[in-house]
Amino acid sequence: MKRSRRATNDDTTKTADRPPLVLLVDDFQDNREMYAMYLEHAGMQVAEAGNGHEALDQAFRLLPDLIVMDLSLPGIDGWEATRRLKADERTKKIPVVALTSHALEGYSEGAREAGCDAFVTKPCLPEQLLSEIRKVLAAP
Amino acid sequence: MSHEFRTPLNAILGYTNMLLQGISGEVPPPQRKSLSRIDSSAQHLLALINDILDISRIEAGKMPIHVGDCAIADLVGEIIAEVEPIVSRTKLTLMREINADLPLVQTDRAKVKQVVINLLTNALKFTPEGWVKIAASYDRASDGVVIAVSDTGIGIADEDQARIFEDFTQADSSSTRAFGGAGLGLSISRRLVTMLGGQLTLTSKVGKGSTFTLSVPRSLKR
Repeated sequence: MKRSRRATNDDTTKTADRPPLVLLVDDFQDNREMYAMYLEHAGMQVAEAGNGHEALDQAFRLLPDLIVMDLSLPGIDGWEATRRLKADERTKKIPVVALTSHALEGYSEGAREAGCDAFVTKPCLPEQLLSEIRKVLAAP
Repeated sequence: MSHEFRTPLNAILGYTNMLLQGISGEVPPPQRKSLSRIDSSAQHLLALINDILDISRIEAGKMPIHVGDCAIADLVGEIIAEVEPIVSRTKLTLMREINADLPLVQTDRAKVKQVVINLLTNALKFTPEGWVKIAASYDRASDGVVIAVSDTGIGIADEDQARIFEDFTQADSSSTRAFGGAGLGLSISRRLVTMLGGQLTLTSKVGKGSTFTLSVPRSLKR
């Protein structure tokens, strides 16, 4: 899927020489493109994937700085995709922010067991997602 | 079910918020006003959906209970901090009265919190002037803790006092429009309190004010 680049002066990122690359994984296009638009506006680079297979392909190919993973995906779901990423040498250190519409208890535990580093519940405003991403990227 | 509702709402709230932030360019005041109304209506819809999901989970017996230690004084402090932004938009005084002899309670802290916040926001909503008070004490006879939320608000007529615990009901049906809210808060609160083995009761006089009293056993047996 599309990948956009933009020269920026964002100062909250981990790498000084280039903006962080975030892989957004969500099967609902409206939400995915909404977050992409906002993160790009905030000076990040964004790649997108609409299902678990694409997510894995993109992750291995691009080695992004962070992955936002919707958990309910067609095919390989977000939990399984995260487990595979965390089991692979190339991608195991990439932080994964789980994103879900399920507010039920148990989901966040399941996501952490799969290896997700943070957990965000929809509805999640773009600015809330951005601040979570910055927090995770700033973590040692 | 929640997934299906939240996904489109996420896009409505998110895009509206981005437009209001001026991400796609400066928004002129009339459009800004319309966008703000889309935003507040979408948030209202979200609150309704969350409430209905709560009720359906309780009715289906799928609302989990997490019993743990609950220090009531700390909880009240936390709650007061959370409603402070609402209080500061009014001229009301928010008072607290916590008895020193409160025991540690074994209950579902999050549910007690949800109920008390609901009672407090109701009190703040329906009190044009005066004060709102939260008081907590230990009742030796029942071995339970009693949390009372009182106000000097508009009060509730005798004939309406049972009805307000029903779904989608406020004392005066016109008040739903005037005061906002879905009219589900108290019906959820009473259900939650019942789950905690406690009671939620009301005393009120029109024009004088209301007191909602929540009592929960000191130790909830699983």
